[in-house]
This record gives sequence, structure tokens and C-alpha cells, in this order.
Amino acid sequence: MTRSFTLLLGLLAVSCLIQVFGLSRLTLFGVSPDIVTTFVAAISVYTGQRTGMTYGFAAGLLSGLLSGNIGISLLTRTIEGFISGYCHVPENSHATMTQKSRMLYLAIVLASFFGNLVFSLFNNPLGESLFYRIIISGALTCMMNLLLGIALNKLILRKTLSE
Amino acid sequence: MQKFFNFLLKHNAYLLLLLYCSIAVLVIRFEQDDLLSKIRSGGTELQASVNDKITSYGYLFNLRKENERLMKINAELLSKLLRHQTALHDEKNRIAMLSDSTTGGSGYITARVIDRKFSSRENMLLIDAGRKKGIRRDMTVLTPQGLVGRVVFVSDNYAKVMPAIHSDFKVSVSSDRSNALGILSWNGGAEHLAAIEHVPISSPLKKGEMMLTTDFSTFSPRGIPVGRVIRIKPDKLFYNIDIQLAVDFSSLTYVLVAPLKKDPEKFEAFNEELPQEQTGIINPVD
Repeated sequence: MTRSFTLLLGLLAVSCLIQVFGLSRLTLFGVSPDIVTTFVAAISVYTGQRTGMTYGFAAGLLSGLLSGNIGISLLTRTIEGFISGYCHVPENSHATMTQKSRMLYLAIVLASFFGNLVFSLFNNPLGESLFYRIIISGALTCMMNLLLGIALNKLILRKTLSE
Repeated sequence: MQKFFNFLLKHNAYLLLLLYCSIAVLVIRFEQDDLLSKIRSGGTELQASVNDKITSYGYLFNLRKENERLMKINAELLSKLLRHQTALHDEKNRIAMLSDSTTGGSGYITARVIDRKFSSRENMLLIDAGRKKGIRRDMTVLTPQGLVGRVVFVSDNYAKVMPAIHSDFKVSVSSDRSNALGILSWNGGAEHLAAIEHVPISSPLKKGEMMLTTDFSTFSPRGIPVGRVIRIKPDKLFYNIDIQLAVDFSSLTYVLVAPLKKDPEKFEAFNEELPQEQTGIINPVD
């Protein structure tokens, strides 16, 4: 229990660092992929809504401290954890790996969209239209995070989180 | 009470969400406060410093590409500069040649030296004027500084010039002060030095005198500077004389081609009056 907690927290910390110092530079139409959202969604799917939300809160705190935007980051990540918790697959569900993966992808899309929605409502430094930020940026964010999620799921998530 | 706890247990996820969101909203609300503001600025500084490091590494990785780009630009600029300098130099030479009082309006043809073959014994120049421009064999080639050589071959657009620094080149010369006569020759070696042959030791020639072409030459007009005497050494009958050539062959760009010297009557009369053995002296001189 402690081991998995530490592992997840470590992964989350690394993902926050990668996000703030690396992935945030890879922008397409002002939108960049978000590895933290992917991780929070994955934790929620595999461990449940409450745990996912708590990890989301922790991730928000960490990424907020690194980016200097603590409040909004806390709120966004918490909501991402909460939303993706609806796609939780219990351990005793006998779901196949494919079904679990599908739920994960759905969770990533939902978390990305609602995370972007909350972030856009509270933070709009460039004064862009809300429609653009919610619909266009939201769609782009969902797509990018989904691609990132698929790649991460194939590489590490499936193995790490199933342990 | 039991109902309340049951409610809490049933909806604990929402309560947790409410708790976290409340904290988040509180943080947003008090973000401008001292403590949070310091934490925010610390985070921003950390991010900025790490970003700065990452950017500087990226800059280092791009240095080679940047260097290659700058080298390319540098090469282009250098080649442009060289082209402009060459054009400027050529134009200066051309203007100097055209403004020279000795050549003005006298049918001299301007040409550019486009190729040269220099060796220790045989040198040759190629100029970009040929038959179409009126160049003929045996025309004299010169610059405002002095004699360059003589045209030995002409094509439609080009002409080959045998310069004074060719072992077969001979021309009759005389000094400007003492009028001492001699024959200019070049025996190989340094391209700025030549020799004057057949100057008798009775001649009053002095060091520093300028040697000019004479009327005795079959191709060259009279009075073209050839060089200045820098060394005189008496031998049995003649002096061994070295002259510093007036023309710097290493930096020839533009030359003038003098009109052909036509005086067949002179040679006809000369050949008839003189015995055959004496013409032997004149003929090699040309």
C-alpha cells in the first residue's frame, strides 16, 4: 500500500516536472498535451474516484507551485480526478484489459475537457473568446491528451497501475 | 445522527470534492496575500531559471547549425566584397589608362588580361581583344607605366601577348639621358628584372637612367618606358646591365594595345643599303 502510494506520488511528481518544463513547450494552436491530466485520470480509473481526486489535488498543488498558479491548478486537477473517477474500473470487475483501456481513454477525454473548461473559466490571460477556449482548445486538448494517454498506456501505465 | 453519518459515507466523494474545491477557491481568493504571493513568485522564479537553463542548452545544441549558417553568410558576403573590390580596382585601372595623356585619342585599344602563364623561362599573356577589335600580330602592348610586350597570335576575340619577360623577347632600347643604345632581353628568373645587352663600355650610361624603346624596333613605338637601370657591371667589350622593369607583371589587369607601326618603306630602304651580315644584328631585335 505504502509502496504503491510512494510510486504513484513519485510518478505524479515526475509527470508534473515533465509537464511544466517540457511538454508545455510543445504547443499546437496554443494548446499543449498534458501528461498530469493523463496520470490523474489513470489513477482515478484504476484506484477510484476519491483516491483519484486526492492525487489530483496533490498534482495540482505540485504543478501550481512549479508554475506559480496554485489556486487554479488545484481546482482543475481536483475536478479532473473527480470526473475521471466516474470511469473507475474496480479490481474485482473482471473487465478485460481492452475494456479497462477504453475506460481509461474515456476518462482522459472527460478529464481533459472538464479540466480545460474550468481552467478557461478562471484563467484567460490572452482575452480569447470563451467559445474558442472551451470548444476549439478543449477539443484539441482532448485529442492531444488522448494520443498521449494511448502512448503512455502502451508503454507504462498498464503495467505500473495494474500492480 | 445515524442518517447523517450514512449520508456522509454515501456521498463522501462529493464532500471530498467540496473540501478540495473550497481549499482551491480559498487559495485563488487569497493568492495575492503575502505568503501565497511569495510561494507563487518562488515557483515562477524556479520555472524561469529552469527554462533559462533548458533554453541555453537548446542554444548550445543549435550552435553548430547557427555557425554553419553564419559561415555561409560570411562566404557570400566575402565573395560579394571581393567582386566589388575587383570591379573597383579594374575600373580604377581602366580610368587611369584612358585618362593617360600619351594614349588619348591615338587609336590605342584597351584590353583586359584574362589569363597568364608564368614560368621561369616562358611567360605568356592572353588579352580579351582580338581581330574583331582591330588587334593585329606584332602590335605593342603597354600600360601607362611602360612596355608590356608584343602580340604574337590573334584570334577573333583574343590575342596572345609575348611579354618582355619572355626569353625570346627582344627590343631595342635607349637611355633617356645619355641615349646609350642596347637590346632588352630577359634570361629567366625574377619577373621584375631584365637585362640590357650590347651596351659598349665606352657608353656614358649611368645607374638610375630610364630605358625607353627606340625607333629601331620593328613593332614598338618610340619612347615607351621599359625600366630603370639598377646595376652596371663592365665586361670585356660590353656592360652587363640589369634594369628594374617599369611594369609590374604580377598585377597586370588592363593593358593598351598600340596601333601597328607601318613603315615598309623604311625597312625596304634599310635592307637594301646595309650589308647582309649587319642585318643579323637588327633582325633578332625586331
